[in-house]
Amino acid sequence: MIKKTSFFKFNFFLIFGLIIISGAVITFIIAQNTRKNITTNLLYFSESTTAAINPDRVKTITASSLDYNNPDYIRLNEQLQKVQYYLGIHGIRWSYLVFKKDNQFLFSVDSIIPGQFGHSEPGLVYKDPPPELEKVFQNEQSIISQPYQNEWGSFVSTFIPIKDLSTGKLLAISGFDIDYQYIQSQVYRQIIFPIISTIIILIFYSIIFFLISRQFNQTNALKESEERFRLAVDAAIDPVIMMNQDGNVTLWNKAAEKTYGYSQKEALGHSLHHLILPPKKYNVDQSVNLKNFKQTGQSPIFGKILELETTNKAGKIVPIELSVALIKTKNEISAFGIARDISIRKEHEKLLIQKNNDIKKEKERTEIFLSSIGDGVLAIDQNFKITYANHIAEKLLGWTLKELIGKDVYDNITVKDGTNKTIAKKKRALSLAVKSGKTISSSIINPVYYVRKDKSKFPVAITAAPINSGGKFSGAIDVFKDITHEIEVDKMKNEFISLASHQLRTPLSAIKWYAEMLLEGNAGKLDAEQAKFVDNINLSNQRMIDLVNTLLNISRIESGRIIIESKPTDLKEIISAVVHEFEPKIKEKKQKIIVNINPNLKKINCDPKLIFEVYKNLISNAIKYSPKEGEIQIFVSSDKDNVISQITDNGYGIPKKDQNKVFTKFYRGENILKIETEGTGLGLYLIKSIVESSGGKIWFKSQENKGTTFWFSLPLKGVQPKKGEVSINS
Amino acid sequence: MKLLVVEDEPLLLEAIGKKLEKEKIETLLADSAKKGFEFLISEKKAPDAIWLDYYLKDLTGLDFVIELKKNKKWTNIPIIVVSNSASTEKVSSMLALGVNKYLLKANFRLEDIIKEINNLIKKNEKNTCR
Repeated sequence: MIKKTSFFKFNFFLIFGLIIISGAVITFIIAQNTRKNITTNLLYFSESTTAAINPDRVKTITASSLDYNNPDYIRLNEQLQKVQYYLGIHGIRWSYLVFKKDNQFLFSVDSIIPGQFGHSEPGLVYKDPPPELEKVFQNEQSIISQPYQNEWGSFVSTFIPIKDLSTGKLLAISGFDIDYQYIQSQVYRQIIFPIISTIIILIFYSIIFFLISRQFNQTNALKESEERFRLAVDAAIDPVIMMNQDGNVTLWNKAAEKTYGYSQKEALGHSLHHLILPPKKYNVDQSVNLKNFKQTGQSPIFGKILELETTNKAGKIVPIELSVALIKTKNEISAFGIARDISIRKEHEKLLIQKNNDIKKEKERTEIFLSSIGDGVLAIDQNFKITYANHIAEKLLGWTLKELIGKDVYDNITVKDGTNKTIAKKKRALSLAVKSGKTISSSIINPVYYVRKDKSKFPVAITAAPINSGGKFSGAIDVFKDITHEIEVDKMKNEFISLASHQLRTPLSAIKWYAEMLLEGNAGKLDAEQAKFVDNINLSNQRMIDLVNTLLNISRIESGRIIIESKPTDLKEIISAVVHEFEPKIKEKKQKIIVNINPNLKKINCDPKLIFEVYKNLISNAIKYSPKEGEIQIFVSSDKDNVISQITDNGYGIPKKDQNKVFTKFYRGENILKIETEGTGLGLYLIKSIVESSGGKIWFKSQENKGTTFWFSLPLKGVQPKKGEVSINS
Repeated sequence: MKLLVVEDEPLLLEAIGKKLEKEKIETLLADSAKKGFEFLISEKKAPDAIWLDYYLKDLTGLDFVIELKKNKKWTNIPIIVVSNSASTEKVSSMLALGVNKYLLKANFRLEDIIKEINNLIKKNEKNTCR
């Protein structure tokens, strides 16, 4: 546009200049012509006037004061006076005759009455004549002088030679002076018109040009703005549509073409609502709005963003987000709308809703699952605030979900131990689970109690698990079960075992004691066979007693009611006691027993009664399952964390195929069943339970007919004492 | 030596009686707590020791000992409980009441129990002499 403007300016000045130049040229020509005309006229007048002069009269002129008396002079003077009258009209000031005498130019006759102002006496020397005068005397031809100045003023003169008619001799020269001022004034008079015309033309031209250029600029700016608008509208990603008050499309950009499938040609001038809102979809509100707009130019949708469904040429539904603005120009009112195609968004929304529904369903399902678990479920966040509680949790705790959500789990749910003491925050299963990052379960054996809203309590088995999302701790789940019934059942079971064993022990005691008396001969001396039989009865009875005792021990350990009374214990003493107990048997089998205990071994904290049972079982097995004259070795050593006891025999060993069953209940090695009838098959099971409940491990290595080694470990830091109800062998 | 045996199981009571008879120990055999107290009241000389079962027909061993300890005459009689069950609770409460020994019935031979009683009596005599 800048180029155009400067081009415009250039044109303007060019034409402006041309007008000036033409004006000047015309003026110049007119001036020249005028000047030429005047001088030509002057020449004509001069020549015709001169022609009227009788040269014979001139011959008589002497160019001295004598001439006044010459009638020819007087005649000539009168003639010139008369001629001057007309010549004067044409600006000729002076007309006169000049003689040349002695290289001097002398005035002789002029057109002024002698004696009047301006009259030149005959014979007056023409002091500063124009140079052309001299030329006429030489060339004897008429001439027009250049403008010149003398004491009389500025003039242009014509000089006409006057010749003798008969001889052709130059007699005198007639001179006619025309005022240069007059010529100039004539010229000015002539050129004033072209100058004024030129100026007027220039003014008009300028005005017209200014008006044209303004119009042009305006049109241009408008065009440019329109162009910019059109480009912008076409560049818009969203359909941009304008509708006039008749409801017809007046603007339809490229995006609208693309979205709706109607070309600009198809859309412009057509009803917008019919294009994109087919009758089926013709919303009542919209038709009312349109009607309203048609009548009043107002619509409630102006300045708002609304979502609606439109239809494209193919009949496909195009959901849009429409923002409409009112555009008022002088002549018309339009509705200007930008329609954003929100198909994708709608699709996403649909998916989102679908997903939300899925999640909701999933959540409901999870809720059903969680409720159906039958156990209370509490979820907490990383700040130990309750985020979820299932129905069972609500029911068990007596709090409603509303009351629980957002509450601190520690402050609102108190946990007590068996002695009704509140369990400290950091010792609660949740804390332990969070701290360790592992699932922590409280056992039915040693239940804790949750306190309800009404302060009553109930025993629970808790499983607390930390939740890690993306490797970051984000909360925990507490699943708890009301174990009131289980505890009752357990109690009943224990009571039953206790009672049954009590009942069993009565007949066993009777058998034991009567057999004892028979063997002692309290009922008379028995013969060898009788004594043997009674002894067999006694041995079998003893096995039964051992079985009952072991069963009771196992039941106690399994039920967790066993007391672990941890105290500083010298393992050496225990081993000695066990070895002492088995001395008769060892002697009988002529076995060798080697005990080797690390002398630096300190006392460790454990329950001596339980550990005695472990050594007793292992040493008894070693004796039982080794042949006569076998060797039994007992080593006790320690590593960084554990005290390890090793009991080795060179006996029958355990068959490979049976080795995985060693610690199961009632297992007895196939190979030793024939050799050694005594044994319940419960010993190793029992001591494994003891070792493990003491925080240790038990393992073995065995080869048939070569021997067996058992190891068990106890933690150096000691065995955790445990409160309970029963002790072993009671 | 005189021994009061309180045991509600007749076969066991008979066995104990026979054995003590063979050992030439004067024995008072009671099959109930009531019978036991009758003996204690009727006998001029208190027994040197009491052999007591825990579960009795009419009372528990615990109640028996509590009753017994109420009478000053009998407080110093050594008591040995020979029972089918030796739960820690029972044992500790009995020992707390002044029972001198608590044995598990099936684990001991009669001879061994008698030995224990002899030891108790000896110990008791020593204490009272002092």
